[in-house]
Amino acid sequence: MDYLVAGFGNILNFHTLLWIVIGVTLGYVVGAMPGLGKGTAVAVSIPLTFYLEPVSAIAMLIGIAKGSGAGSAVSAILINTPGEPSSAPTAQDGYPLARQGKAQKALKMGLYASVIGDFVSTLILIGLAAPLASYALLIGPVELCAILLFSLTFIGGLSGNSMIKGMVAGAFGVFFATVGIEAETFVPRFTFGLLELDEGISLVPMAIGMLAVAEMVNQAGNLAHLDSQAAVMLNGTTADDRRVTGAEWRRCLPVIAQGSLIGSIVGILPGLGASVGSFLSYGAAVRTSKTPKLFGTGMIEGVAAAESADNAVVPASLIPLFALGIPGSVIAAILISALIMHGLTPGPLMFKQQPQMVGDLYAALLCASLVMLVVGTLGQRIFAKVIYLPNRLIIPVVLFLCCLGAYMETSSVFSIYVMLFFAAVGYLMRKLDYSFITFLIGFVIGPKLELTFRQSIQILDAKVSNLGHHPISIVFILLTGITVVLIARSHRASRLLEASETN
Amino acid sequence: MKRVDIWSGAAVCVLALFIMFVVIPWQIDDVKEGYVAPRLVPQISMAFIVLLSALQVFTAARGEMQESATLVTRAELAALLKLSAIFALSLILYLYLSPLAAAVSLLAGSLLALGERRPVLIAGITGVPIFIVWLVFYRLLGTAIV
Amino acid sequence: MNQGFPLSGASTRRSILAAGAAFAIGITAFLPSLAQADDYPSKPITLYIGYGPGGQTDVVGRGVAKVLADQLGVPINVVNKPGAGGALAASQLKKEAPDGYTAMFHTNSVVDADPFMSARINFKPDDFDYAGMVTAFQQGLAAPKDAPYDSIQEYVAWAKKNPGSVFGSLSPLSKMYIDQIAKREGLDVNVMPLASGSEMINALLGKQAALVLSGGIHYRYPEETKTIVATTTFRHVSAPDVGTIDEAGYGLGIDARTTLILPKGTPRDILGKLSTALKATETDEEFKAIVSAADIPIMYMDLDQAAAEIAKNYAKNKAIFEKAGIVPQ
Repeated sequence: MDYLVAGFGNILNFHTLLWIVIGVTLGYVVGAMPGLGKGTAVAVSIPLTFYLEPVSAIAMLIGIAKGSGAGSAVSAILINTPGEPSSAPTAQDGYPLARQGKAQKALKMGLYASVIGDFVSTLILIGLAAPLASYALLIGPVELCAILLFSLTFIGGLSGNSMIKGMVAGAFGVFFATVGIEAETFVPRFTFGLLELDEGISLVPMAIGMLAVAEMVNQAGNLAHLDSQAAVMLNGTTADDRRVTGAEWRRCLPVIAQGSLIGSIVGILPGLGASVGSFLSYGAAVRTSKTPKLFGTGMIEGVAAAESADNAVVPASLIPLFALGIPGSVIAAILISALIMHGLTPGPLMFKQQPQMVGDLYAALLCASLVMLVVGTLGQRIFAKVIYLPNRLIIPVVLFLCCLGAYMETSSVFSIYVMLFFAAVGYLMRKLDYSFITFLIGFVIGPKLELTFRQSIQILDAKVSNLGHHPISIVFILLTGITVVLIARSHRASRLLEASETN
Repeated sequence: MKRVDIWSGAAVCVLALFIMFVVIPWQIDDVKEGYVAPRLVPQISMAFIVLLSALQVFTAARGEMQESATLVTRAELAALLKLSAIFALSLILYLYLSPLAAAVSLLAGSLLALGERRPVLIAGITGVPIFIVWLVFYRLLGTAIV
Repeated sequence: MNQGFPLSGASTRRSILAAGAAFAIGITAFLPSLAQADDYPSKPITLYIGYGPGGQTDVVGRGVAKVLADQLGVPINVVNKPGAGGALAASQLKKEAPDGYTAMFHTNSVVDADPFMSARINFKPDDFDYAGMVTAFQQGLAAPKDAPYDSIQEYVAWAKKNPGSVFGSLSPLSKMYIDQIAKREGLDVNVMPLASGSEMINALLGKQAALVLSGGIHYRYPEETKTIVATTTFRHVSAPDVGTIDEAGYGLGIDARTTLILPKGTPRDILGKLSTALKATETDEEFKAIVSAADIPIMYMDLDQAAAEIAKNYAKNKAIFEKAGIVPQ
């Protein structure tokens, strides 16, 4: 605690604060641009971090990570193109709100939820990093496999209008995730002789194609309609549409608390990532809502749920890094290399050898949360103007940024091909009403589920009886069963309800 | 239920069968005993899709037919074709001429295709993003993109 | 602060113009090089790294890029081209002009071991020139600290008594190791696939795996892990008391050294200049701090030693992989 106080003393100077502000602003701006995201921001920042003091360098990286999480909500809400897959659920309700002339309300809620989720998760990191991390080690492949199975069924029910089509899309997501060299037998799958596909289809260009490019092509075909809507939006806004009302706060706070907690837990667990966090939180918000049918039409709770969890994942994913020296995310891996570049050894030894360094980092993390609130509030005023621009001017720039973001992922034109392929798939799915959300969920969770299943078989020596040594996994297997029963019931109930309404 | 659900379900079903019986055996080698087969997960997902799509066709065929709105309007089709052509042109320019030419054709081309005719705006929206990218990546950071 | 940026302080006006021209026309890569070896280098050098940012090779590579930039007086542009363990970047490098302005920083395994494992790799060590080697990774078999074995012999004895123990495998190479040891000693070991280095550490710290092949990152956790045998041809600097796998009589020692790789046909003058510049890594304080924090010892080799090392490794790996019956997939 003394170190934390001293840490504030060390970072509250112009130089360090400046780099935090630069980091958050860079992350926010890049995150807010469709097609660009954390990956781009990181690529931009790595050469910079080389030349900075350790604390400034790391403060900037942390600022980027946090800022891009908050920024990605902006493009999701304003033009329905999530900057990162983890903001896809934000767009579900954020974009309808924007089209109803409530863009500023949605943006504000997104920012507040982001900051709260981020702050809560940072406090958890500071207070509980060491004990939580040792518990996280108990979560091995067997437990993770059960947790993923549970997550998949839990989120799987979110297929929108058509359950069957949603599940078909999810299965395709799992299928596309199997491309590449299989990790156990090293047999290539669907690589068609291309080395580029050895490591599978990269999430970033795939998501850019499916979420952003396909959406832009779709909007290009409806320019007249969108422009006339924009004219209505300009005239039709009241003061209440531009702010979050007290009643909305009361509805959203429990959702934000729930999202922050889900995001923190997902962040601690190895290798799940921000997308799983925001999808799970959105799913939980739909399930606990009194009006689940209204999600997707502009429920402010949807934005709050997705964004709070999305941002809570970032600090929590640093818990294994600080406590154990294991990177829990891409940003954490970059942080490790930044520490090493300055001759520091990340991990538990850091607490013993450089406790003041850890104190400084914690102080920088907390500072970045507050900076995010300020930068976000100012940034929104500027970005919110975008919505008044005619789409024919927005679309070309977005397409350009998409190409840039996809290209930078691997520095190769192959990523552009991947992006275009999934843009075509995404366009078809939009037209035929297949949910690309469930596709993404399948794509993100599928490969981890397969890998942990293979790992579990080896650990359990292919004997079901050995599951007795893994009580946590048994709990989640039971939860999965309960979820399946509940989904089946509610599905039947809503069918009956529809039937009685039509009669 | 919409008519489109019948043929989209049928098409997806046929596609999944094709992947299951042609693409999977062609692209994934069989391995010796003792492992979870590499083909297993792709096969499960395809079998799942075949069953669900068949179910979709079945329920759609049984339900009352609704006249659904046109799937793709004329304007949408035009936008799709125009933008596809611009992407193709930009890729060709990227591969055989230069990234700069590709960037110009992508930005200016799609602006023109979407109906923007004011020269100042076209020049600005094409030039400014390219200049910023050049400034950041080539001048400031030295991580040349190409 | 500004002088740190690769392109603003150290560069000459000419190189700025060159960079500008390169972008404006963007076709330099397609033209035959007009650069003379005498005034090399006269423009920025592009350095490929075959992994994404954040890994061990990336950290060393960026450190080397800084040393080279200081030595040669031109900016070094680091470009991460991840994919197929570096084979993708190497395939790209093979097509570049041999003018010394495009190079790749990677472990030698990409040219002298990977071709034996992937049938889709279309290059051999002879398709490149080598300017030198910088560091060697401390690859070895690692176990949790409290495991009841401290050497490969003790592990074999323990694994015989405990059939179904778990080995964590991160790459075809690590699977080859355990398959060879298990075949020779008649062990019943379950091979658990791992997807990343951090997953490997997780499995060690969480004691889900009894043994893993580590590229050396486990040395960052001296209180939770230990090395039981070095799979390199030399004993590790970080654990000088632990024997090598060749000392134990397996003949499976394979070294992974970070190498500066160039397209075939690069003039020897240019290779020599790069090789000399590379030698400065031995004395550069900043670079030494980086690699010691990452537990990666510097073992410099000049261009001739590097070429000989690659040829030697290629022959040795060929024998190892043929004996193991591994066919490229």
